[in-house]
Amino acid sequence: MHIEVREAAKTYYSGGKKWIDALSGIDLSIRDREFVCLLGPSGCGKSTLLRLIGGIEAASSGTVLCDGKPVVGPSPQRGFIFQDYALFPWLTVRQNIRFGLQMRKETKNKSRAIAEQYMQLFGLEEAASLYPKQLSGGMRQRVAIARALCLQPRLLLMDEPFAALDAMLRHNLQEEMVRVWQREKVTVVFVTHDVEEAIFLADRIVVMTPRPGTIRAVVPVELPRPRSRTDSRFVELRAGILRLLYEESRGDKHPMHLSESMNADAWANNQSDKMTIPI
Amino acid sequence: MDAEQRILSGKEAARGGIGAGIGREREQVRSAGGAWRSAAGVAFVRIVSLLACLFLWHILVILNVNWPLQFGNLPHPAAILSAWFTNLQTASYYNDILVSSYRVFSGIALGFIAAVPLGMWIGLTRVGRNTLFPNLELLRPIPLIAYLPVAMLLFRTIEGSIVFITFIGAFFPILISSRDAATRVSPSLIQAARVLGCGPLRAIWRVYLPAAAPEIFTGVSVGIGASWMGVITGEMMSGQTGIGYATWQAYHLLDYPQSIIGMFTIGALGFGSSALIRLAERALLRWR
Repeated sequence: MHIEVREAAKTYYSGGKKWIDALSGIDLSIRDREFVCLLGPSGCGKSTLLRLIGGIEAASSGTVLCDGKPVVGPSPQRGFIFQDYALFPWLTVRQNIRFGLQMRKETKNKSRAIAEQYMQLFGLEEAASLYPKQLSGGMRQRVAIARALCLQPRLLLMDEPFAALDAMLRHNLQEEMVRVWQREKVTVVFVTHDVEEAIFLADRIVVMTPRPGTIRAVVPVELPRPRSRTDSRFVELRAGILRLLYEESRGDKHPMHLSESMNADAWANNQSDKMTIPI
Repeated sequence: MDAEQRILSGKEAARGGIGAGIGREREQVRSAGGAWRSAAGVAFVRIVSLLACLFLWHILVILNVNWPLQFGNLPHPAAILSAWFTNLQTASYYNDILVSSYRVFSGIALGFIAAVPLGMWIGLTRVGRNTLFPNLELLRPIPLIAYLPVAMLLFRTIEGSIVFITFIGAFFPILISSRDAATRVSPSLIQAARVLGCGPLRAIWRVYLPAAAPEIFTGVSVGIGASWMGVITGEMMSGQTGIGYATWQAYHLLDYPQSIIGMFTIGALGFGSSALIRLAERALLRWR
Protein backbone atom coordinates (compact mmCIF):
# COMPACT_ATOMS: atom_id res chain seq x y z
CA MET A 1 0.00 0.00 0.00
CA HIS A 2 1.33 3.39 -0.99
CA ILE A 3 0.87 6.26 1.45
CA GLU A 4 0.92 9.96 0.81
CA VAL A 5 0.77 12.48 3.68
CA ARG A 6 0.41 16.08 2.54
CA GLU A 7 0.68 19.16 4.75
CA ALA A 8 -0.85 17.25 7.63
CA ALA A 9 -1.24 18.96 10.97
CA LYS A 10 -2.87 17.95 14.23
CA THR A 11 -3.81 20.34 17.01
CA TYR A 12 -5.16 19.31 20.39
CA TYR A 13 -7.20 21.53 22.64
CA SER A 14 -5.69 21.48 26.12
CA GLY A 15 -8.12 23.59 28.11
CA GLY A 16 -8.40 27.34 28.53
CA LYS A 17 -7.01 29.15 25.55
CA LYS A 18 -4.26 26.62 25.04
CA TRP A 19 -3.81 24.54 21.93
CA ILE A 20 -1.01 22.08 21.39
CA ASP A 21 0.52 21.54 17.97
CA ALA A 22 1.14 17.81 18.00
CA LEU A 23 2.04 17.79 14.34
CA SER A 24 2.63 20.51 11.84
CA GLY A 25 3.42 20.56 8.15
CA ILE A 26 4.01 16.86 7.68
CA ASP A 27 4.84 15.74 4.14
CA LEU A 28 5.76 12.13 3.71
CA SER A 29 5.35 9.50 1.08
CA ILE A 30 5.83 5.81 1.68
CA ARG A 31 6.25 3.32 -1.14
CA ASP A 32 4.38 0.05 -1.40
CA ARG A 33 6.08 -2.69 0.63
CA GLU A 34 8.49 -0.30 2.25
CA PHE A 35 9.51 -0.60 5.90
CA VAL A 36 9.53 2.87 7.44
CA CYS A 37 10.34 3.76 11.04
CA LEU A 38 9.10 6.95 12.67
CA LEU A 39 11.81 7.83 15.20
CA GLY A 40 11.92 10.56 17.79
CA PRO A 41 11.68 11.49 21.46
CA SER A 42 8.35 11.43 23.26
CA GLY A 43 6.08 14.28 22.31
CA CYS A 44 7.39 14.51 18.77
CA GLY A 45 4.08 13.39 17.31
CA LYS A 46 5.25 10.07 15.87
CA SER A 47 2.35 8.14 17.36
CA THR A 48 -0.08 10.84 16.28
CA LEU A 49 1.18 10.59 12.71
CA LEU A 50 0.72 6.83 12.85
CA ARG A 51 -2.85 7.25 14.10
CA LEU A 52 -3.63 9.68 11.30
CA ILE A 53 -2.45 7.12 8.76
CA GLY A 54 -4.50 4.43 10.53
CA GLY A 55 -7.60 6.60 10.50
CA ILE A 56 -7.92 6.30 14.28
CA GLU A 57 -7.67 10.07 14.51
CA ALA A 58 -8.46 12.70 11.91
CA ALA A 59 -5.97 15.36 10.84
CA SER A 60 -6.79 18.96 11.78
CA SER A 61 -5.66 19.99 8.32
CA GLY A 62 -3.97 18.40 5.34
CA THR A 63 -4.63 15.01 3.80
CA VAL A 64 -3.62 11.41 4.22
CA LEU A 65 -3.99 9.23 1.15
CA CYS A 66 -3.65 5.46 1.02
CA ASP A 67 -3.34 4.17 -2.54
CA GLY A 68 -4.63 7.56 -3.65
CA LYS A 69 -7.79 7.43 -1.54
CA PRO A 70 -8.27 9.71 1.46
CA VAL A 71 -8.31 7.98 4.85
CA VAL A 72 -11.62 8.56 6.59
CA GLY A 73 -11.61 5.97 9.35
CA PRO A 74 -9.98 2.75 10.51
CA SER A 75 -10.03 -0.26 8.22
CA PRO A 76 -8.91 -3.89 8.52
CA GLN A 77 -6.86 -3.16 5.38
CA ARG A 78 -4.61 -1.11 7.65
CA GLY A 79 -3.70 -3.31 10.58
CA PHE A 80 -2.75 -1.52 13.79
CA ILE A 81 -0.54 -2.86 16.58
CA PHE A 82 -0.81 -1.08 19.92
CA GLN A 83 1.96 -0.72 22.46
CA ASP A 84 -0.26 -2.18 25.19
CA TYR A 85 -1.18 -5.09 22.85
CA ALA A 86 -4.94 -4.30 23.11
CA LEU A 87 -5.85 -7.98 23.28
CA PHE A 88 -9.37 -8.68 24.47
CA PRO A 89 -8.73 -10.13 27.93
CA TRP A 90 -12.00 -12.14 27.93
CA LEU A 91 -11.07 -14.01 24.75
CA THR A 92 -8.56 -16.82 24.43
CA VAL A 93 -5.62 -16.52 22.04
CA ARG A 94 -7.58 -18.38 19.35
CA GLN A 95 -10.70 -16.26 19.86
CA ASN A 96 -8.65 -13.06 19.77
CA ILE A 97 -7.12 -14.04 16.45
CA ARG A 98 -10.52 -14.99 15.05
CA PHE A 99 -12.14 -11.72 16.14
CA GLY A 100 -11.41 -9.82 12.92
CA LEU A 101 -12.30 -12.82 10.77
CA GLN A 102 -15.68 -13.04 12.47
CA MET A 103 -16.25 -9.34 11.87
CA ARG A 104 -15.54 -9.98 8.20
CA LYS A 105 -18.22 -12.71 8.33
CA GLU A 106 -15.94 -15.53 7.23
CA THR A 107 -17.49 -18.97 7.47
CA LYS A 108 -16.70 -20.80 10.67
CA ASN A 109 -14.47 -23.34 8.95
CA LYS A 110 -12.51 -20.79 7.03
CA SER A 111 -11.93 -18.50 9.97
CA ARG A 112 -10.83 -21.46 12.05
CA ALA A 113 -8.42 -22.60 9.36
CA ILE A 114 -6.90 -19.14 8.92
CA ALA A 115 -6.54 -18.67 12.67
CA GLU A 116 -4.77 -22.03 13.03
CA GLN A 117 -2.43 -21.12 10.19
CA TYR A 118 -1.39 -17.84 11.80
CA MET A 119 -1.09 -19.38 15.25
CA GLN A 120 1.34 -21.86 13.72
CA LEU A 121 3.31 -19.09 12.00
CA PHE A 122 3.79 -17.29 15.29
CA GLY A 123 4.36 -20.36 17.44
CA LEU A 124 1.13 -19.93 19.36
CA GLU A 125 -0.44 -23.40 18.95
CA GLU A 126 0.37 -24.38 22.52
CA ALA A 127 -1.17 -21.19 23.85
CA ALA A 128 -4.35 -21.36 21.74
CA SER A 129 -6.74 -21.80 24.68
CA LEU A 130 -4.96 -19.51 27.13
CA TYR A 131 -6.19 -16.08 28.09
CA PRO A 132 -3.96 -13.01 27.51
CA LYS A 133 -3.37 -12.68 31.25
CA GLN A 134 -1.61 -16.05 31.19
CA LEU A 135 0.87 -15.00 28.48
CA SER A 136 4.20 -13.21 28.64
CA GLY A 137 4.57 -9.79 27.04
CA GLY A 138 6.34 -11.19 23.99
CA MET A 139 3.61 -13.80 23.46
CA ARG A 140 0.91 -11.16 23.80
CA GLN A 141 2.51 -9.02 21.13
CA ARG A 142 2.79 -12.06 18.86
CA VAL A 143 -0.95 -12.65 19.28
CA ALA A 144 -1.66 -9.01 18.46
CA ILE A 145 0.47 -9.20 15.31
CA ALA A 146 -1.11 -12.49 14.24
CA ARG A 147 -4.57 -11.03 14.87
CA ALA A 148 -3.81 -8.11 12.55
CA LEU A 149 -1.99 -10.12 9.88
CA CYS A 150 -4.60 -12.87 9.49
CA LEU A 151 -6.86 -10.26 7.84
CA GLN A 152 -4.10 -9.89 5.24
CA PRO A 153 -3.77 -6.13 5.51
CA ARG A 154 -1.82 -4.23 2.89
CA LEU A 155 -0.34 -2.00 5.58
CA LEU A 156 0.78 -2.68 9.13
CA LEU A 157 0.99 0.25 11.54
CA MET A 158 2.92 -0.49 14.71
CA ASP A 159 3.02 1.87 17.71
CA GLU A 160 6.14 1.11 19.78
CA PRO A 161 5.14 -2.54 19.82
CA PHE A 162 8.27 -3.85 21.55
CA ALA A 163 8.93 -0.95 23.92
CA ALA A 164 7.71 -2.81 27.00
CA LEU A 165 9.77 -5.95 26.38
CA ASP A 166 13.22 -6.85 27.65
CA ALA A 167 16.22 -6.52 25.35
CA MET A 168 16.65 -10.20 24.38
CA LEU A 169 13.00 -10.63 23.53
CA ARG A 170 12.98 -7.34 21.66
CA HIS A 171 15.85 -8.53 19.45
CA ASN A 172 14.05 -11.81 18.74
CA LEU A 173 10.83 -10.07 17.81
CA GLN A 174 12.67 -7.56 15.63
CA GLU A 175 14.20 -10.39 13.64
CA GLU A 176 10.83 -12.10 13.44
CA MET A 177 9.27 -8.84 12.27
CA VAL A 178 11.71 -8.56 9.38
CA ARG A 179 10.88 -12.12 8.29
CA VAL A 180 7.15 -11.43 8.55
CA TRP A 181 7.50 -8.27 6.50
CA GLN A 182 9.46 -10.06 3.79
CA ARG A 183 7.01 -12.97 3.68
CA GLU A 184 3.69 -11.12 3.88
CA LYS A 185 4.48 -8.48 1.23
CA VAL A 186 3.11 -5.75 3.43
CA THR A 187 4.01 -2.10 3.94
CA VAL A 188 5.09 -1.39 7.52
CA VAL A 189 5.15 1.90 9.40
CA PHE A 190 6.80 1.34 12.75
CA VAL A 191 6.99 3.91 15.55
CA THR A 192 9.92 3.70 17.95
CA HIS A 193 12.14 5.86 20.14
CA ASP A 194 14.97 3.33 19.94
CA VAL A 195 17.56 4.36 17.33
CA GLU A 196 19.06 0.87 17.10
CA GLU A 197 15.66 -0.71 16.56
CA ALA A 198 14.93 1.75 13.76
CA ILE A 199 18.23 1.06 11.99
CA PHE A 200 17.80 -2.69 12.36
CA LEU A 201 14.33 -2.68 10.84
CA ALA A 202 13.81 0.19 8.45
CA ASP A 203 14.36 0.91 4.79
CA ARG A 204 14.03 4.56 5.71
CA ILE A 205 13.97 6.32 9.08
CA VAL A 206 11.81 9.39 9.51
CA VAL A 207 13.47 11.40 12.29
CA MET A 208 10.99 13.62 14.09
CA THR A 209 11.43 16.41 16.64
CA PRO A 210 8.94 17.92 19.09
CA ARG A 211 7.23 21.32 19.70
CA PRO A 212 5.69 21.26 17.21
CA GLY A 213 6.04 17.72 15.87
CA THR A 214 7.84 17.97 12.56
CA ILE A 215 9.96 15.79 10.34
CA ARG A 216 13.60 16.67 10.90
CA ALA A 217 15.16 14.34 8.37
CA VAL A 218 14.46 11.24 6.37
CA VAL A 219 17.40 8.87 6.57
CA PRO A 220 17.63 5.91 4.20
CA VAL A 221 19.26 2.81 5.65
CA GLU A 222 21.13 1.13 2.87
CA LEU A 223 22.59 -1.74 4.84
CA PRO A 224 22.15 -5.28 3.51
CA ARG A 225 19.81 -7.59 5.43
CA PRO A 226 20.10 -9.43 7.73
CA ARG A 227 21.74 -6.54 9.55
CA SER A 228 24.33 -6.81 12.25
CA ARG A 229 24.20 -4.36 15.13
CA THR A 230 27.97 -4.46 15.47
CA ASP A 231 28.69 -3.67 11.82
CA SER A 232 30.78 -0.49 11.64
CA ARG A 233 28.36 1.21 9.25
CA PHE A 234 25.48 0.37 11.60
CA VAL A 235 27.34 1.99 14.48
CA GLU A 236 28.23 5.07 12.46
CA LEU A 237 24.69 5.56 11.30
CA ARG A 238 23.54 5.22 14.88
CA ALA A 239 25.97 7.93 15.98
CA GLY A 240 24.80 10.21 13.20
CA ILE A 241 21.13 9.87 14.06
CA LEU A 242 21.79 10.28 17.77
CA ARG A 243 23.65 13.49 17.05
CA LEU A 244 20.71 14.68 15.00
CA LEU A 245 18.30 14.01 17.89
CA TYR A 246 20.64 15.17 20.63
CA GLU A 247 21.56 18.48 19.10
CA GLU A 248 17.96 19.20 18.36
CA SER A 249 17.01 18.65 21.98
CA ARG A 250 19.74 21.08 23.13
CA GLY A 251 18.92 23.50 20.37
CA ASP A 252 16.37 25.59 22.27
CA LYS A 253 18.62 26.43 25.20
CA HIS A 254 22.07 26.57 23.66
CA PRO A 255 21.70 27.95 20.20
CA MET A 256 23.92 25.76 18.05
CA HIS A 257 26.87 24.68 20.10
CA LEU A 258 27.91 22.65 17.13
CA SER A 259 31.41 21.36 17.08
CA GLU A 260 33.99 19.92 14.78
CA SER A 261 32.77 17.10 12.64
CA MET A 262 29.20 17.60 11.62
CA ASN A 263 26.66 20.33 11.71
CA ALA A 264 23.36 18.65 12.43
CA ASP A 265 21.31 21.00 10.33
CA ALA A 266 23.57 20.74 7.35
CA TRP A 267 23.62 17.00 7.76
CA ALA A 268 19.84 16.80 7.97
CA ASN A 269 19.28 19.00 4.95
CA ASN A 270 21.84 17.02 3.10
CA GLN A 271 19.88 13.89 3.93
CA SER A 272 16.49 15.07 2.86
CA ASP A 273 17.91 16.30 -0.44
CA LYS A 274 20.05 13.42 -1.49
CA MET A 275 18.64 10.53 0.54
CA THR A 276 22.06 9.02 0.96
CA ILE A 277 24.21 8.78 3.94
CA PRO A 278 27.88 9.63 4.31
CA ILE A 279 29.20 6.40 5.70
CA MET B 1 15.82 -4.35 71.06
CA ASP B 2 19.54 -4.96 70.57
CA ALA B 3 21.70 -3.35 67.91
CA GLU B 4 21.53 -6.19 65.43
CA GLN B 5 17.77 -6.36 65.59
CA ARG B 6 17.52 -2.66 65.10
CA ILE B 7 19.61 -2.88 61.94
CA LEU B 8 17.49 -5.70 60.63
CA SER B 9 14.21 -3.93 61.23
CA GLY B 10 15.73 -0.81 59.72
CA LYS B 11 16.55 -2.77 56.60
CA GLU B 12 13.05 -4.12 56.48
CA ALA B 13 11.62 -0.65 56.75
CA ALA B 14 14.00 0.50 54.04
CA ARG B 15 12.64 -2.16 51.73
CA GLY B 16 9.44 -0.33 52.40
CA GLY B 17 5.94 -0.68 51.06
CA ILE B 18 3.63 -3.62 51.23
CA GLY B 19 6.27 -6.32 51.25
CA ALA B 20 7.85 -5.09 54.47
CA GLY B 21 4.45 -4.85 56.12
CA ILE B 22 3.55 -8.41 55.23
CA GLY B 23 6.92 -9.60 56.49
CA ARG B 24 6.36 -8.05 59.88
CA GLU B 25 2.82 -9.33 60.14
CA ARG B 26 3.95 -12.86 59.38
CA GLU B 27 6.57 -12.59 62.11
CA GLN B 28 3.92 -11.63 64.63
CA VAL B 29 1.56 -14.41 63.65
CA ARG B 30 4.31 -16.98 63.93
CA SER B 31 5.33 -15.79 67.37
CA ALA B 32 1.68 -15.87 68.54
CA GLY B 33 1.77 -19.66 68.72
CA GLY B 34 1.55 -22.96 66.94
CA ALA B 35 -2.22 -23.01 66.39
CA TRP B 36 -1.98 -20.82 63.26
CA ARG B 37 0.26 -23.20 61.36
CA SER B 38 -2.35 -25.61 60.05
CA ALA B 39 -5.79 -25.20 58.50
CA ALA B 40 -7.22 -27.38 61.27
CA GLY B 41 -5.66 -25.12 63.88
CA VAL B 42 -7.19 -22.04 62.27
CA ALA B 43 -10.61 -23.72 62.10
CA PHE B 44 -10.28 -24.69 65.76
CA VAL B 45 -9.54 -21.11 66.80
CA ARG B 46 -12.50 -19.83 64.82
CA ILE B 47 -14.93 -22.34 66.33
CA VAL B 48 -13.68 -21.63 69.83
CA SER B 49 -14.20 -17.88 69.37
CA LEU B 50 -17.74 -18.49 68.08
CA LEU B 51 -18.52 -20.71 71.05
CA ALA B 52 -17.05 -18.11 73.38
CA CYS B 53 -19.46 -15.52 71.98
CA LEU B 54 -22.43 -17.83 72.48
CA PHE B 55 -21.22 -18.58 75.99
CA LEU B 56 -20.95 -14.86 76.78
CA TRP B 57 -24.52 -14.40 75.54
CA HIS B 58 -25.64 -17.34 77.68
CA ILE B 59 -23.99 -15.81 80.78
CA LEU B 60 -25.49 -12.36 80.15
CA VAL B 61 -28.99 -13.84 79.91
CA ILE B 62 -28.63 -16.20 82.85
CA LEU B 63 -27.29 -13.49 85.15
CA ASN B 64 -30.07 -11.19 83.88
CA VAL B 65 -27.57 -8.39 83.22
CA ASN B 66 -29.50 -5.14 82.69
CA TRP B 67 -26.70 -2.67 82.35
CA PRO B 68 -25.69 -1.02 80.01
CA LEU B 69 -28.24 -2.83 77.86
CA GLN B 70 -31.11 -5.03 78.91
CA PHE B 71 -29.44 -8.30 77.99
CA GLY B 72 -31.80 -10.06 80.36
CA ASN B 73 -34.67 -9.53 77.90
CA LEU B 74 -32.99 -11.60 75.19
CA PRO B 75 -34.01 -15.21 74.70
CA HIS B 76 -31.62 -17.90 75.79
CA PRO B 77 -29.28 -19.26 73.03
CA ALA B 78 -30.36 -22.82 73.86
CA ALA B 79 -34.05 -21.87 73.53
CA ILE B 80 -33.31 -20.34 70.14
CA LEU B 81 -31.47 -23.44 68.97
CA SER B 82 -34.27 -25.78 70.00
CA ALA B 83 -36.89 -23.52 68.38
CA TRP B 84 -34.80 -23.53 65.22
CA PHE B 85 -34.70 -27.35 65.16
CA THR B 86 -38.50 -27.32 65.37
CA ASN B 87 -38.60 -24.76 62.55
CA LEU B 88 -36.55 -27.04 60.36
CA GLN B 89 -39.46 -29.49 60.46
CA THR B 90 -42.08 -26.82 59.69
CA ALA B 91 -43.23 -26.09 56.14
CA SER B 92 -44.00 -22.42 56.84
CA TYR B 93 -40.35 -21.69 57.71
CA TYR B 94 -39.20 -22.97 54.33
CA ASN B 95 -42.09 -21.23 52.65
CA ASP B 96 -41.10 -17.88 54.16
CA ILE B 97 -37.53 -18.38 52.97
CA LEU B 98 -38.67 -19.31 49.47
CA VAL B 99 -41.12 -16.42 49.18
CA SER B 100 -38.52 -13.84 50.24
CA SER B 101 -35.81 -15.35 48.04
CA TYR B 102 -38.16 -15.37 45.08
CA ARG B 103 -38.94 -11.67 45.60
CA VAL B 104 -35.24 -10.80 45.81
CA PHE B 105 -34.45 -12.88 42.75
CA SER B 106 -37.22 -11.22 40.73
CA GLY B 107 -36.04 -7.78 41.79
CA ILE B 108 -32.44 -8.57 40.86
CA ALA B 109 -33.42 -10.05 37.49
CA LEU B 110 -35.65 -7.11 36.57
CA GLY B 111 -33.13 -4.61 37.93
CA PHE B 112 -30.35 -6.21 35.89
CA ILE B 113 -32.40 -6.19 32.69
CA ALA B 114 -33.28 -2.52 33.15
CA ALA B 115 -30.09 -1.14 34.68
CA VAL B 116 -27.38 -2.59 32.42
CA PRO B 117 -28.66 -1.13 29.12
CA LEU B 118 -29.64 2.17 30.74
CA GLY B 119 -26.31 2.45 32.55
CA MET B 120 -24.44 1.79 29.31
CA TRP B 121 -26.59 4.32 27.52
CA ILE B 122 -25.90 6.97 30.16
CA GLY B 123 -22.20 6.16 30.16
CA LEU B 124 -21.75 6.18 26.41
CA THR B 125 -24.04 8.86 25.01
CA ARG B 126 -24.44 12.53 25.70
CA VAL B 127 -28.21 12.23 25.30
CA GLY B 128 -28.43 9.62 28.03
CA ARG B 129 -26.12 11.55 30.32
CA ASN B 130 -28.22 14.70 30.05
CA THR B 131 -31.78 13.40 29.84
CA LEU B 132 -32.17 10.26 31.93
CA PHE B 133 -29.29 10.55 34.35
CA PRO B 134 -30.25 13.80 36.12
CA ASN B 135 -33.71 12.39 36.89
CA LEU B 136 -32.29 9.16 38.23
CA GLU B 137 -29.77 11.05 40.33
CA LEU B 138 -32.68 12.76 42.10
CA LEU B 139 -34.29 9.42 42.89
CA ARG B 140 -31.13 7.59 43.89
CA PRO B 141 -30.52 9.11 47.35
CA ILE B 142 -34.06 8.22 48.51
CA PRO B 143 -33.89 5.37 51.03
CA LEU B 144 -35.66 2.22 49.91
CA ILE B 145 -38.26 2.36 52.66
CA ALA B 146 -39.42 5.79 51.47
CA TYR B 147 -40.44 4.23 48.16
CA LEU B 148 -43.02 2.10 49.94
CA PRO B 149 -46.02 4.47 49.79
CA VAL B 150 -45.48 5.06 46.07
CA ALA B 151 -45.03 1.32 45.55
CA MET B 152 -48.38 0.69 47.25
CA LEU B 153 -50.06 3.25 45.03
CA LEU B 154 -48.49 1.97 41.84
CA PHE B 155 -49.24 -1.71 42.33
CA ARG B 156 -52.53 -3.41 42.86
CA THR B 157 -51.01 -6.25 44.89
CA ILE B 158 -48.74 -6.25 47.89
CA GLU B 159 -46.58 -8.77 46.05
CA GLY B 160 -46.04 -6.27 43.23
CA SER B 161 -45.10 -3.45 45.56
CA ILE B 162 -42.60 -5.58 47.48
CA VAL B 163 -40.94 -6.78 44.27
CA PHE B 164 -40.84 -3.14 43.16
CA ILE B 165 -38.88 -2.26 46.29
CA THR B 166 -36.38 -5.07 45.69
CA PHE B 167 -36.12 -3.93 42.07
CA ILE B 168 -35.26 -0.39 43.15
CA GLY B 169 -32.67 -1.78 45.56
CA ALA B 170 -30.95 -3.70 42.77
CA PHE B 171 -31.44 -1.09 40.06
CA PHE B 172 -29.29 1.79 41.28
CA PRO B 173 -26.08 -0.07 42.17
CA ILE B 174 -26.20 -1.97 38.87
CA LEU B 175 -26.97 1.23 36.96
CA ILE B 176 -24.06 3.12 38.48
CA SER B 177 -21.60 0.26 38.03
CA SER B 178 -22.65 -0.25 34.39
CA ARG B 179 -22.29 3.44 33.69
CA ASP B 180 -18.85 3.64 35.27
CA ALA B 181 -17.69 0.46 33.60
CA ALA B 182 -18.84 1.66 30.18
CA THR B 183 -16.90 4.90 30.50
CA ARG B 184 -13.80 3.09 31.72
CA VAL B 185 -13.41 0.59 28.88
CA SER B 186 -9.83 0.95 27.67
CA PRO B 187 -9.73 3.20 24.56
CA SER B 188 -7.16 0.97 22.92
CA LEU B 189 -9.56 -2.00 23.11
CA ILE B 190 -12.26 0.05 21.43
CA GLN B 191 -9.84 1.24 18.77
CA ALA B 192 -8.52 -2.29 18.28
CA ALA B 193 -12.08 -3.53 17.70
CA ARG B 194 -12.73 -0.74 15.19
CA VAL B 195 -9.51 -1.47 13.31
CA LEU B 196 -10.52 -5.14 13.16
CA GLY B 197 -13.79 -4.16 11.49
CA CYS B 198 -16.17 -4.09 14.46
CA GLY B 199 -18.94 -1.49 14.03
CA PRO B 200 -20.26 0.60 16.94
CA LEU B 201 -23.41 -1.47 17.55
CA ARG B 202 -21.56 -4.74 17.46
CA ALA B 203 -18.94 -3.30 19.78
CA ILE B 204 -21.56 -3.05 22.52
CA TRP B 205 -21.93 -6.84 22.53
CA ARG B 206 -18.40 -7.79 21.66
CA VAL B 207 -16.38 -5.18 23.57
CA TYR B 208 -18.26 -2.95 25.99
CA LEU B 209 -20.35 -5.63 27.72
CA PRO B 210 -17.58 -8.17 28.28
CA ALA B 211 -15.16 -5.43 29.34
CA ALA B 212 -17.74 -4.05 31.77
CA ALA B 213 -18.79 -7.45 33.14
CA PRO B 214 -16.49 -7.49 36.20
CA GLU B 215 -17.72 -4.11 37.41
CA ILE B 216 -21.33 -5.01 36.66
CA PHE B 217 -20.87 -8.07 38.87
CA THR B 218 -19.72 -5.81 41.68
CA GLY B 219 -22.89 -3.77 41.15
CA VAL B 220 -24.99 -6.93 41.31
CA SER B 221 -23.50 -8.01 44.61
CA VAL B 222 -24.10 -4.58 46.12
CA GLY B 223 -27.59 -4.66 44.60
CA ILE B 224 -28.36 -8.02 46.19
CA GLY B 225 -27.60 -6.59 49.61
CA ALA B 226 -29.92 -3.65 48.97
CA SER B 227 -32.60 -5.99 47.61
CA TRP B 228 -32.55 -8.05 50.80
CA MET B 229 -32.86 -4.89 52.82
CA GLY B 230 -35.80 -3.88 50.63
CA VAL B 231 -37.63 -7.17 50.85
CA ILE B 232 -37.36 -7.33 54.64
CA THR B 233 -38.56 -3.75 55.01
CA GLY B 234 -41.45 -4.32 52.63
CA GLU B 235 -42.52 -7.52 54.35
CA MET B 236 -42.30 -5.99 57.81
CA MET B 237 -44.38 -3.01 56.77
CA SER B 238 -46.97 -4.57 54.56
CA GLY B 239 -46.42 -8.26 54.01
CA GLN B 240 -48.39 -11.31 54.95
CA THR B 241 -45.65 -13.79 54.09
CA GLY B 242 -41.89 -13.94 53.92
CA ILE B 243 -39.08 -14.10 56.40
CA GLY B 244 -39.27 -10.37 57.19
CA TYR B 245 -42.95 -10.67 58.00
CA ALA B 246 -42.28 -13.73 60.17
CA THR B 247 -39.56 -11.93 62.11
CA TRP B 248 -41.72 -8.91 62.88
CA GLN B 249 -44.83 -10.97 63.54
CA ALA B 250 -42.95 -13.13 66.06
CA TYR B 251 -41.97 -9.98 67.96
CA HIS B 252 -45.60 -8.91 68.20
CA LEU B 253 -46.58 -12.37 69.38
CA LEU B 254 -43.86 -12.16 72.04
CA ASP B 255 -42.18 -15.19 70.44
CA TYR B 256 -38.70 -13.71 70.80
CA PRO B 257 -36.72 -16.82 69.86
CA GLN B 258 -38.48 -16.76 66.47
CA SER B 259 -37.51 -13.11 65.97
CA ILE B 260 -33.89 -13.94 66.59
CA ILE B 261 -34.12 -16.96 64.28
CA GLY B 262 -35.61 -14.68 61.61
CA MET B 263 -32.71 -12.29 62.06
CA PHE B 264 -30.06 -14.93 61.64
CA THR B 265 -31.95 -16.54 58.75
CA ILE B 266 -31.96 -13.21 56.91
CA GLY B 267 -28.23 -12.92 57.58
CA ALA B 268 -27.63 -16.42 56.25
CA LEU B 269 -29.71 -15.74 53.13
CA GLY B 270 -27.75 -12.58 52.43
CA PHE B 271 -24.48 -14.41 52.92
CA GLY B 272 -25.69 -17.26 50.68
CA SER B 273 -26.69 -14.92 47.86
CA SER B 274 -23.31 -13.18 47.93
CA ALA B 275 -21.64 -16.58 47.77
CA LEU B 276 -23.81 -17.54 44.79
CA ILE B 277 -22.83 -14.34 43.00
CA ARG B 278 -19.17 -15.02 43.65
CA LEU B 279 -19.55 -18.53 42.27
CA ALA B 280 -21.29 -17.24 39.15
CA GLU B 281 -18.59 -14.60 38.74
CA ARG B 282 -15.85 -17.19 38.99
CA ALA B 283 -17.57 -19.39 36.43
CA LEU B 284 -18.35 -16.61 33.96
CA LEU B 285 -15.20 -14.53 34.29
CA ARG B 286 -12.56 -17.19 34.13
CA TRP B 287 -10.36 -14.88 32.08
CA ARG B 288 -9.68 -12.58 35.03
